[in-house]
Amino acid sequence: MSAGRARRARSARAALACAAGLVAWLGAARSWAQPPPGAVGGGQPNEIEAGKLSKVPKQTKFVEAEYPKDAFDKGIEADVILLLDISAEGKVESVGIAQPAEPPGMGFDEAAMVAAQQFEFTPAEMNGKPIAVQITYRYRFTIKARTAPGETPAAGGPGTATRPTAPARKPTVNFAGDLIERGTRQPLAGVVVTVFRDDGEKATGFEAPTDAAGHFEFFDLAPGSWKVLADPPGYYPFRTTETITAGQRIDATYHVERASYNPYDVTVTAARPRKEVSRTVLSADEIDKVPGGAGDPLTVVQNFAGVARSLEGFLVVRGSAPEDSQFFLDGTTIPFIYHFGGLKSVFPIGILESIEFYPGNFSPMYGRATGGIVDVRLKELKPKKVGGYADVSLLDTGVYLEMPLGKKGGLAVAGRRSYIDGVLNLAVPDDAPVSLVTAPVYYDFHLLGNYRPSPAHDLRGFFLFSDDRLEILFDNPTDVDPGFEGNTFSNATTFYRSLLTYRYVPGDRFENTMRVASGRDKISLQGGQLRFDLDIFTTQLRDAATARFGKRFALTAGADVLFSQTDALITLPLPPKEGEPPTDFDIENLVTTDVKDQRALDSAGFVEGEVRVLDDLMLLPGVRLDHFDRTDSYGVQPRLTARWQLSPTLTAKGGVGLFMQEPQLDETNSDFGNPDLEPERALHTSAGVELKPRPWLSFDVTAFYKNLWHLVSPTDRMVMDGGEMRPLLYDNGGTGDVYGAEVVVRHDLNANLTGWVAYTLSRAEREDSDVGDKRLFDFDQTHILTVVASYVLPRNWLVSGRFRLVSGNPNTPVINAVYNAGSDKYDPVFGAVNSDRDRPFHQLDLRIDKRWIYQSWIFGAYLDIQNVYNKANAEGVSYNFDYSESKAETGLPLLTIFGLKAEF
Amino acid sequence: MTPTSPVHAAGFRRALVVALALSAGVSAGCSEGFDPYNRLTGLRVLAIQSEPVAPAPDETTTLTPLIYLPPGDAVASMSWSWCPYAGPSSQGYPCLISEEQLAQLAGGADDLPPYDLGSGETASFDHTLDPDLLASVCAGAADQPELLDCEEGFPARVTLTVRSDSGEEVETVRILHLRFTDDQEPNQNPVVDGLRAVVDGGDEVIGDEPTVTLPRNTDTVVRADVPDDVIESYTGTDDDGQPEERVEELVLTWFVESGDTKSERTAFIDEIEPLEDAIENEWSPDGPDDYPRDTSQIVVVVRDDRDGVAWASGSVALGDAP
Repeated sequence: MSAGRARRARSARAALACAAGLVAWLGAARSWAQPPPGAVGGGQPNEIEAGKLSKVPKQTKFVEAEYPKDAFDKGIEADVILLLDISAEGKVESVGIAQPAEPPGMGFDEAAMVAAQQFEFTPAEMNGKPIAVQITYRYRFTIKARTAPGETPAAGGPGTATRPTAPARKPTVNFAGDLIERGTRQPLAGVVVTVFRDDGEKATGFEAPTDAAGHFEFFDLAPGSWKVLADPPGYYPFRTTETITAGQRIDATYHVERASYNPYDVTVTAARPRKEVSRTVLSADEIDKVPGGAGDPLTVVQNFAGVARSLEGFLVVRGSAPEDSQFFLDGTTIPFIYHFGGLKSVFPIGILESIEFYPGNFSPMYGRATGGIVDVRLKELKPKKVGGYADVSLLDTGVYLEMPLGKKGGLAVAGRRSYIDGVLNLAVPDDAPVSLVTAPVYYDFHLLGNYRPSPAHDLRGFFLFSDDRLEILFDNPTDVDPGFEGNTFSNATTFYRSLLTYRYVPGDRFENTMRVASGRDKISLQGGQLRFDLDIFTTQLRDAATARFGKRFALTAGADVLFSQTDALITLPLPPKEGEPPTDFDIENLVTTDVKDQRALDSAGFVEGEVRVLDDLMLLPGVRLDHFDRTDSYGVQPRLTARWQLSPTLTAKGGVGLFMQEPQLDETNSDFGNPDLEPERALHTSAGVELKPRPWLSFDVTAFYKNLWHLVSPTDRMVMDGGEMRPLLYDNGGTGDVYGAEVVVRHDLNANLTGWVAYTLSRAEREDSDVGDKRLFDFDQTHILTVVASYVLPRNWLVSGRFRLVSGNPNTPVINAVYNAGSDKYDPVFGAVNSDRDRPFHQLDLRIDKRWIYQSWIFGAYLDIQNVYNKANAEGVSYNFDYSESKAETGLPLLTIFGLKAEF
Repeated sequence: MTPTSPVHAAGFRRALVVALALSAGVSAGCSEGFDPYNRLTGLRVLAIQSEPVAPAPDETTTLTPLIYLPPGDAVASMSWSWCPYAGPSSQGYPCLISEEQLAQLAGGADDLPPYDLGSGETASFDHTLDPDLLASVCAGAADQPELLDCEEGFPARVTLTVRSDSGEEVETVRILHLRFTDDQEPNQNPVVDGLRAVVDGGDEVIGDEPTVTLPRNTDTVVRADVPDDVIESYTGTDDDGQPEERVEELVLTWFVESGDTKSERTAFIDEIEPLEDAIENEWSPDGPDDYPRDTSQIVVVVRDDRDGVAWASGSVALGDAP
């Protein structure tokens, strides 16, 4: 093979979509390497949209790959997605691996590459002229005719490169090496390494693909000087010269630099087929770089359509109260996701695969919620070497370490500690009226492992420990509240979860996933006469089995059982409910409840079908049956989702379903609430269209209507109970309506730009018991506009921005005040609930990332600037002591967070 | 209590958030940019004392307000009333039982105190309600202390509305516990004999006339004369409703016309906050630019935790900072 042969024509590289599963379009989501000045090839890489080609390449010659013997014997089948560079003559010039086979290490990748080098195509054309293009090609290894492996693969066609054939007798490896990515030390699998030289009148060249470990070997190279070239797509070409000496072997390690280390280049989009009306999925790499969250993975959820802005880390979805939405960890419930009520999430980015968000009409697999769902997906570890990162910011320091477990698994550990305590202790002056005995401090620890002994069996384990602590000593407790009895205030929140997952996939017709989660949640608050001690042990079992019956029908069925055992000792005022302002917090009227060894077993079963009525029309009928132990009630919740692909770029969708959840813990407590309450109910209805006019551009418009009833509502009514009058406190007489529309324009990476625009128009109204008028929900935000954009710059710079324009939150005005001479403070008298509204909110956040690539590690720095133009946004209203004066309470000012990250 | 679920503790968590916010001092009245609670600038009712604190049946209690008015202003009118069962504070404590309904409940008794207690500088309340009736009502609400806390007597509500010549109006409420059984121990109002300032290392009595001069923009120690032998012990109930010996807690609120005090309130809590700390504060009057007048009042109101209240006040001259 000549040197010129090794130089791929990159002047006009195209990405295109081909039909019938032969060639899958991938290219437009990638940013191609730009050769450095003086690099081979000469031309600038060009991105060409498939639609502008006048002719796509068609395969004219197919060569069957040799089936790896070991895999054949074990009955293992696999797909390899190849990257083929096709010349303007239709020849395969280069073969790379876009997605290696699963399981790795069986030889599928190498076999597919050898075969693909012999493929031939009719050239692609643009404006009638043949051009070189790059395509992706799925090579599927299937055992059908049981052809015995070991047959000689089809001979390569003219001009194709072949692996140098090992001599029949005793071949000798005299040049071997490892190809690894500079910085990350990830082995580069499936890359063709070329050695060549001018040998008199004839150029001589050989190629060898790297295996899964990035290793390559050449046999019996003639002594002398050989030029070496490795030019994987997306990387700068690597060239060097090696001198072969007779009787000696060369072992080399080559570090190949990726053209760009921006996170969007390496995102592997696992395009799980869409089955929901609305679902937003962001991979961990994307999440990490969204501005405004200081690298925190879960704050990004607030940028999605349908999610209201919230300061406290609450999840407010389509107008629902925060407690109506649920966070899940791989499908199992978790009690908290944030340290200190929103400061930072308990999950480091390293252990996450993605975040999936469903604003409504979610699958029957999910339940016990009438709002939305966020499912945090844990990473499937596939480390090929020991690696990790250390992340240092102004808030905390975290470390993450992952390592392979043989060839079939991986293990990761992560830990984090905040040092707000140190900063605050320095900031609090000696003569301040408070002392931080234990300043705010949080820790978390994670252990994640997965092991796949065979393709049919996948085992995963995860352990999470989280701890928050705070203790304040007051010089004068009466400065807090005249009724406050004590001089300390302490809060500790500790929880842990272990999660075991076993996934059984014997074939493509059946799959079963079983999850067992167990843990303990402990919350302790002590402050004067206030006390809150809650200790819950919980175990959850989820099992879901999916069976496929032909191409048109699949059925998923499962069970979801949640057991809890609770001890609690609580002395607090009645907590403010929806519509009640938190300023009406009366420390004089405390309620105590003492709970010992209370047990609850919430069980549920669900079934969901997937029916392809037509090739383009998919229906997902399902039902979930819940038994709510605390309220001893049942709920049958039918749900239906439909998706109809009207054209390759246009899909219509719709859904309707019933959703139920139990009242809050305090609401059914006999001391704090009404034990006779029933579950709340919601009917979700939504419909919309998705348009994808370009591979990198999509529009999603969804209208929704949510009807709520049986809502828990405060009431002043009294009831006779055991011959005595008592206040009912709550009943199920609340109703509500939420309606609106969401528009999302998403721009995947193209022309170095990625991001989305999300606009939500909504109205959330409710009617309480004993009150004839409708009013706004506490979290009604009529207009929510979020624009998120990231621009990839050369030299591993990345600039991101987020702009938000949101209606102000409703608030209840204070119209008068009465001096309470007993408590020595003024009691506010409120006007109509939520009849006023804060000023509109707008804020711009920026983030700048820079990475420096070294031989074995990567050093990164980021600057996250929140509220760039220092807008004093209203976050509520504050009043003077007698409520005769008021002003807008403002949110965070300009805030700059600097962080460093070292990856290895 | 019924069984619980770990995913539905949000209501309690909301209470927790509020409690945390309270501890952080972000509740109403604690915000920057407003005059502090204890700076006297306009019409204020600072306390209402009842003597005796909680009248026994057939006893008459006298209600006396402590009113502050800035120089040049005067009280235009005062209006007293009471109500046996008032609505929530968020609605302004509306009276939920009419006088006719009360008379019906009392079996047509004609000696009930009228809701209107007059418009005098003080008011008198005759506890003529039937103790058995009060005991019966309280027994029905024994498990609902947040609704009707009868530990110290039946909680009637007294309202005072004060208007000033300058047009200001303040509405004030307080609980008046009406004892209905001998088991309910009588309480005595606390005692505060006066105020002192530490000037040049010596205690100076702060009297009605400004004989003591305090430097502006300088912290001066001020003390309230609260005798420790008047702090009472009494039998209360613990969380389980069992009898428990307790020592009264005292909360002192310090009001000034000029400047700030180090603490708006100080407290005596037995075995937690000693009395010698509770009766002492620091006061820094404003400079002449912020407060041109050359005298300033200081008032301390002492409350115990059983409705008892007392106060002392005085005036000081303001001098240049040293």
